[in-house]
Amino acid sequence: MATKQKSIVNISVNQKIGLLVPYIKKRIIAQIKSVALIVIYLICFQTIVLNIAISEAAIVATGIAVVVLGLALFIEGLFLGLMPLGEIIGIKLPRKTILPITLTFAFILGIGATFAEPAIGILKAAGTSVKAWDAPLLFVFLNKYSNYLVYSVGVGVGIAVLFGMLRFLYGWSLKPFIYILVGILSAFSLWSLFQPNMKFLTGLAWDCGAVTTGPVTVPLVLALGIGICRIVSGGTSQSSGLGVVTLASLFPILAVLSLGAFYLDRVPQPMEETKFFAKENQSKRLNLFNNKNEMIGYALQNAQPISQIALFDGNHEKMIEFIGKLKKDPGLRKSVFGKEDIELLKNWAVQKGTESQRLAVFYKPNAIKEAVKNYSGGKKIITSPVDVLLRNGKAAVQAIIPLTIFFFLVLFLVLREKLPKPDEIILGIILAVVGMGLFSIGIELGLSKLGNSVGTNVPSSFTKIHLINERQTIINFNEEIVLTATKPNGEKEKFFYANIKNEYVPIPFDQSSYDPSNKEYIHTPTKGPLFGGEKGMLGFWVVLLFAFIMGYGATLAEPALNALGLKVEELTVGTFKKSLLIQAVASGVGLGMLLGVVKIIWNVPLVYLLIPPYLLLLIITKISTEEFVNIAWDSAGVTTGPITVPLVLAIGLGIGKQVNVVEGFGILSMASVCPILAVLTVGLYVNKRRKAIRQESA
Amino acid sequence: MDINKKVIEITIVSDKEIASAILEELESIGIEYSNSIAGRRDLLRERKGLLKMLGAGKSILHDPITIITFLVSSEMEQTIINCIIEKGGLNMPGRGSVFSKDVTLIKAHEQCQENKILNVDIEFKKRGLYSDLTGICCIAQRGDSDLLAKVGLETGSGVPAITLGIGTGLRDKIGLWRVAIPAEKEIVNLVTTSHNAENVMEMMIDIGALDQPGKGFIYLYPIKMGLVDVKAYVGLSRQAASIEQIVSVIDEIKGGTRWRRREFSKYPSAFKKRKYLNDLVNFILICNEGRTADLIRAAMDAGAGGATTSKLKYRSTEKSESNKISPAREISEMIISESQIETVVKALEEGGALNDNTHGQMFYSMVPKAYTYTRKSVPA
Repeated sequence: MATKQKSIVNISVNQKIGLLVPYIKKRIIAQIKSVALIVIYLICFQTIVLNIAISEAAIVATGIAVVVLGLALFIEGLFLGLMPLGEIIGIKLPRKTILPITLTFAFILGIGATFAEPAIGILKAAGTSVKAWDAPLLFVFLNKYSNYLVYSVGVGVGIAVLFGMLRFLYGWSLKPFIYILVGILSAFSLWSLFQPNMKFLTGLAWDCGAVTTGPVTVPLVLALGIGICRIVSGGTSQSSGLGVVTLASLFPILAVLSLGAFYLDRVPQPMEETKFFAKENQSKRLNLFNNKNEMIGYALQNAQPISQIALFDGNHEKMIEFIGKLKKDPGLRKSVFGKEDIELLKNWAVQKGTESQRLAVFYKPNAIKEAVKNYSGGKKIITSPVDVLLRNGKAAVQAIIPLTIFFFLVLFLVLREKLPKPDEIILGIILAVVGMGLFSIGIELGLSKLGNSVGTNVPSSFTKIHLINERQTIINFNEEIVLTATKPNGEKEKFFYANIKNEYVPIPFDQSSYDPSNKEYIHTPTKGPLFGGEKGMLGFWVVLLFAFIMGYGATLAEPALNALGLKVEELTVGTFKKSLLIQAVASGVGLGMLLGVVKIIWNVPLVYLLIPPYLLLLIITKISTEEFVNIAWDSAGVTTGPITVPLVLAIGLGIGKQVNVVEGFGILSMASVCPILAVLTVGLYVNKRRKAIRQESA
Repeated sequence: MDINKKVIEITIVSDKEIASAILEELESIGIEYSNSIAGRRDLLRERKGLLKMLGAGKSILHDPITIITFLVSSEMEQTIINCIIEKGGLNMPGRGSVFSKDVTLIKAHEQCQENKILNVDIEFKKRGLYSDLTGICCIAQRGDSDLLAKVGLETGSGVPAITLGIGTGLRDKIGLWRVAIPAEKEIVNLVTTSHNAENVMEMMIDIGALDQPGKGFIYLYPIKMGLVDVKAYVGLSRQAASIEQIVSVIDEIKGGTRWRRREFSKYPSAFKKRKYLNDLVNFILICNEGRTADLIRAAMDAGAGGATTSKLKYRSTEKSESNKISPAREISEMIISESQIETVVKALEEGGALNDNTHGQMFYSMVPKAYTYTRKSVPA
């Protein structure tokens, strides 16, 4: 077209820079603001309150800078590319095709989104400390059947998106969905409370609901919904495009619980470790693993020697013989340990093996000594930067590209529509991929390192912890320097003085840390309890306060919440401000974190903490307007995203380790119920004010 | 088809809660289609307690509204306005406003003509509708609207209605670099008495710094008749009747708003120096969502300076033929000079504005006075 040429104005390089600088600056500053609180808070807490140095400060700092950059790019990408794409499909699809096609599309989108953002990795991390005999059902879904878990969550999300679209097309209210689903889920969870196996699965199920809706799914589904609502006639219909996220958080819980109930009979009951490995449980026990070798591998790595021997019909010789075979046969190693690498076997022998097992691996006592030297002290696993880059880059591409290709295909092939502003949308998608890759890298290097280090140290406010990172080996240790101290009650204690960094420090002497054969004493500094003595109330209060502020701060930085906030502000033309929504949600998450920590420290069954808030929610939902019900329930689904989850888990697992709980699940679901409460309460207040205006004018 | 006929555009600004009731009422009197835009109104609220003592006595309250517009043939104007006032209870302060504008319908897809038939014969109570009203419309950067709205509120001129839009202009001529320039706009509409309008416009220019480049565009538009909400203030009233109730009663007795005339001495001289743009038209294109970008580009190639586009929701009755049109529509406003209309219309028509994929509707209204930053020459 001839006119096309006329419409391009060339601008100079200077002008381009003049445009770009303020544009980039504004976005970077916005992200700095959103992560500032959590970063400053974590650093202050660790350095000032706990007085522990941050290990690898430089990497952490780089990581945080990368997070800021990544978030800025990703959010820009969402608004330029992904959301317009979702909206255009939402507008065109129901008008140009028949209902079944729209619904099929919705269902595939739901399943696809789940596969694209596999939250299962996160959940596996939360379940690393789950032992097969403590919670067999939970164990089997985290390991052997983790695929089924993903499928069921995917189907749950698919059904949710499908119902979400139907809701928009027919103008149904969200409330009945909430009543029915929450009702069923509460009943299900209550029943689970009396099923020892299901009891442990409940936490996982509710957490699945919380984590499935990730930073790519939420904006896409949101935009799609907004698009569909635009074409539903009926002038001022109440539904505005929100609500799908809510359903996508509730249906998967149901799906996972049902899956659990289905497999309930095939797994053994939770029991003592020794009983678990007894002969009568053999067949059900095998159901937990893919094959016998895998089970042996698991037992070797996690169970006590007596249980291991039980697997070889109580015959110790047979076990040693098997280990000897392991050393020689790479194929067998692979089926037992998952990898052929012989280092794995040696490492295992040093870390976990008994004397006789070690002997079977290394043959000679001297070789064992040599190996112990090499492998102990927790050989650091160094991840190369290239590896981190590739892994996160791949994950980002996987999360975004297949879904967008699916959208493009639907747009071009099914709808036969052009892409409006193709250059902008493509740029947006590229920015989103790059941004997501960067912020995942940054989270891995920076935030989650910081979170992990705070998470492992935070229990020191109420109990004594060992600082593994600062472990030192004192060579040429002479037992003669050990002194004896006495307590007021006459109890004796051994200690010695060491010169550490030119200071004479008294160190309690622990016989097990001393290796008389090569005269080495491994000194692990300890810390805490900092506040109010061992397991004192004050220490717990500090942890609870910490949990609250951390949940609050992490939420401010969540990209999906940012996207939701902006969309809500736009949809309500500024009558529901983004900042108000984010503040309400963040306070809610903070409160949820606090309750989650309560659950872990005092080992409260999750159901006690989940059911009452949900019942309260049902009541508030009943008296709230449709508009706020949609906003509030949706914000619950978006809170638990890439920033919050690793931090939450780090804290949960850190504390969990110190107080010895079976699993660290449940904090996430607490962090998603409380924001609903917070937003609905704000909604009630806003409505009360609006009502006041109405009454005045009547 | 070439029609170029004088019709009336009716605008209803109503509280969101009562909007669906009004829409149903419109349907029952035979309005076959209408457009709704979600918006908000800004109100002043008196604070209580500590904040008041600290000096932050008044805050701005955002309240959701729905703006409904449609075209009708002129003979129906009064009946419809009266009907809406009565059914919507708009004579009570705080419920909303309704007013009409003279517009010229240039061309439209055959399903998008003005509403013609009314199937009710009921005569509504003849009300003294005020004819001395003027609208002020200001298109500003997103985030600036509260500042501008405050002018209207604090001078007691009226209740501003704010909607969101996307600007198209020079921005879209620089390729992908455009993403660096924010396109989001806020559109502030304030209907006030004619004798106040120019003063308020002046104050808005000053406060919104509209004489600076890139800050925005402001214009006045004549209103034919209507009833305007005067409730700008939320808070306890210590009198037997609120001031808004008193004002609306006096308006009714006096049969107009002229008695409200007063001087704003705060901004005395500035406007004499300003160079205004006169005798422009507000050219409006309403079409299906997704088609706007191409059409605006065509219009800009034909000489239009730029456009502001807002999303609207098209609503038509079940039985009407226009029911086939997508409810997702967009309205684009372009301020151009009268002489440009013909070329722009031609360009739009060539761009397919009237085809079945677009369902376009083009009309214009007069803009007697406008202002924006101008470098040397008056931009188109």
